[in-house]
Amino acid sequence: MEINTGRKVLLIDDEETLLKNIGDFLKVSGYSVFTSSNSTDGLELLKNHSPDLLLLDLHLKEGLTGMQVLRAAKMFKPGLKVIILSGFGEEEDTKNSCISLGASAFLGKPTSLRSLSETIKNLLEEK
Amino acid sequence: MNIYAIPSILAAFLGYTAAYFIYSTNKSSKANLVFALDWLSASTWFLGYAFMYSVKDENLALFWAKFTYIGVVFIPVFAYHFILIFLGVKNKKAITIIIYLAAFIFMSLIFLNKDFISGTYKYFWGYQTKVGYLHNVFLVFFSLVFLGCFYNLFKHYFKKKNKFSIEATRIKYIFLAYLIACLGALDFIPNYGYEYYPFCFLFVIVALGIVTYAIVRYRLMNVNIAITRAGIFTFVYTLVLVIPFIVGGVIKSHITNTLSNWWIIPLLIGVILASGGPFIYMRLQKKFESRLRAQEFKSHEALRRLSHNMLRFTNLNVLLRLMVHYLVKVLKLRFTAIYLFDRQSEKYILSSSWHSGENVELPQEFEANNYLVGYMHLKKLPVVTEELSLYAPTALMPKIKKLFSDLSALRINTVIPSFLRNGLIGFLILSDRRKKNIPFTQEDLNLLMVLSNEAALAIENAQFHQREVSTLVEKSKREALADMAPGASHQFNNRLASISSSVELLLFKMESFNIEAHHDERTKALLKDAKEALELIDSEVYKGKEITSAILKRAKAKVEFQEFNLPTLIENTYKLVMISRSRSGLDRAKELKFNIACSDKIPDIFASEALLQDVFYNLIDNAYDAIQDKAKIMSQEGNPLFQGEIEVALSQEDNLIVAKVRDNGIGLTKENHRKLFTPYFTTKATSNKGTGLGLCVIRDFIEMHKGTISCDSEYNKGAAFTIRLPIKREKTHGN
Repeated sequence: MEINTGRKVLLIDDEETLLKNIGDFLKVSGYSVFTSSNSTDGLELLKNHSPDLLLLDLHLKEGLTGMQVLRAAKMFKPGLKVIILSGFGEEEDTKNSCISLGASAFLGKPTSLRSLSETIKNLLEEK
Repeated sequence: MNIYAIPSILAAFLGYTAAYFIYSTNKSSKANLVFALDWLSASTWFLGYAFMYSVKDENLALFWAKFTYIGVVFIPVFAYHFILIFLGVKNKKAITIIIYLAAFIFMSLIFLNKDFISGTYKYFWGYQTKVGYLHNVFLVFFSLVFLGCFYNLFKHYFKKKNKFSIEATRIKYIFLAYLIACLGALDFIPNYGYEYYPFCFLFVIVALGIVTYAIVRYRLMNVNIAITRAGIFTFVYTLVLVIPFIVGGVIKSHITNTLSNWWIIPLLIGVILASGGPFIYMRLQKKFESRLRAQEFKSHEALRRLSHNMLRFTNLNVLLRLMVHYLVKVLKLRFTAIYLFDRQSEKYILSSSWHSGENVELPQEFEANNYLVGYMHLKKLPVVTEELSLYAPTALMPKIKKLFSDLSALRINTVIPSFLRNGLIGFLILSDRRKKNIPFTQEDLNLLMVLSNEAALAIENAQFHQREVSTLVEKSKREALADMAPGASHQFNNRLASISSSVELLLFKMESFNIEAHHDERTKALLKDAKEALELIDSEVYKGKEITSAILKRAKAKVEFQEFNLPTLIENTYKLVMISRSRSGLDRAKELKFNIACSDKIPDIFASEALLQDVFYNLIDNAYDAIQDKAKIMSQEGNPLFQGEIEVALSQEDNLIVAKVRDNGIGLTKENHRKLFTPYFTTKATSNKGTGLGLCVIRDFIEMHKGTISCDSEYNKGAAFTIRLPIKREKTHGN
């Protein structure tokens, strides 16, 4: 069942369960997955593995905020696709500033794995 | 100067002053004029006596004796005429004219005939009138006229159904005064040769004093108070007049030799006593009356206390109930009611009432153009039903008669207006008293007027306070929610995300796992159940997400005006109501149908999202309550399957958005419908149910948008609130 798409996905979220579940799901879906529960390790992974796509929680408990991570990631790899996950309500302002910083999509938590996988697929196929 | 003339001089002085005073109080009043003339006649009598006693010459004494009688013959005539005016008798003109003519004849007889005034006696106090046989005719005339007075008073008194009414009390009062005055007739006795000093004119002074008081105030107090006052007055002035007289008598024989002007001493005593008299009188009066009127003073004290404490009340309903209850209790009334002006309907609405014993059907409202309201605006004084016709100009008579019969039919005794900055904000209705129907005294009315104006302030204060408080409460609720909701929903959403991702991962794995490949039936069934359970959990998670997002939307709604989509807001608001209500688990309605009907594309509105959310939240919440109540009644009637319906219909009318919130719940009773927008009205048993936000505040919020709200409702059928809001703010307001 596991098909390797050869695509690398980096997942940064401070919710361990979510991290593990989405990670597992993406692995099963054929992605190479790197997960981190904090911004420092996340950026480290980004440098080391140069993923094609970043799944980023906007509200990280420690270290940099999601927005800062987004800015850093985009500086490091301008072509990087970023999907923002947020547990806060979808506020237009926040959404817009994320998009203007280069995020490709904005998903509110909880989001279904199916729609997540579709979004990822669509974004990666765009290239 | 003669010592015996002093009482007469003082009395004459008093009389002329009184006559002038009565006449000048109301120059256009016939009653005042005639009564002043009566005083004038009496004073002429007193003055004549004073001169008659003082002169040494017999001829001069005879002149003054005749002068005296000019006054005396007219006393009964004016008295009779006054009584007729007082009682409002109009069909006795002929008799009046005859009596006047008779008086003129007697007057001419004084000078023309020696058998009327025949000369003078020389008594110890000086000269005194000597009368002839014609004087007996005059005495008969005098008696008949006074009998006529008493007869008329009697007749009118018995015609009065209510023996305690103001009119009846007045008659009693006048009757008493005339009875006392008649004792003055005893002063005719020395004229027939019996040597006793005529002091009975004092009674006349007392009597005239009583009536004067009645005319000037034209509102009589309890008769027993009048009697007390008259009694004290007589007592004090008898002392004032008699003491110098006695002193004079005693010292005359002792000091005539040493002091030729011996009468200076009693005169001085008289002057001193006379100037001290009023103070003694006032002191005694106060003392006696405080005993006699202890009950009345107590009730006045209670009213004063109430009016001082009213401003402390910040709850309007409590304040109004307290007022009506207190008034019924303190004034011993049958009922009392308060009507307050409602600016929405422009009517005076029955806001609170209290009755003792029998219930009286009072009108629920008075139109602002009601004659009673207009009358109070004009007079700015209490309306006493019984006195309505007393001052009425002829032109207004039909209207006033109608008002009188309307008020009498409702057994309304007095209406006290309540003014605030010249506006009539309401009025207080008082019935007659429960037991003996003692009319309100002027003092009562003055006090009630103070009370009602004080109440106007207190009512405004309570209204303002409650409005402020509930707006503040609403604001702090909003702020608390805005503070808490984002963090809480973030946490909540993260939990939900963990759950949903776990569940969905598991489901995903199960999809690629062929259940049918397993032959163990139990495993198969278990896996199937597990799959169903997981799918249920997953769908519940997304419902949970909707809840947090609805709460978040509510929390993030801005009070500041901005453009937004009204149907979306209403949709979200409905969700919120359902979220907060479904926890109660008391749903009686089978299910609730909610529908937003948009007749066409509704443009975004420029408004305060937060305030409109409050408005629709409360309307939908109320609709929900109404449906629950209706469902309860239906199920009690054995019909448990009630289908509740709430519909919000949106449409555009020119530059307005019209939103109609309709439900098929219990609806409003007529009374509740009427009170709907009065501040802090609630049909709910406890105010903490729901948000506790009254329709009054809803109306305030809508008026902040320059919009309007109205309500149509029929009891047991449902209610519909129609809100009209401008789409864009008017240009004149800038942006």
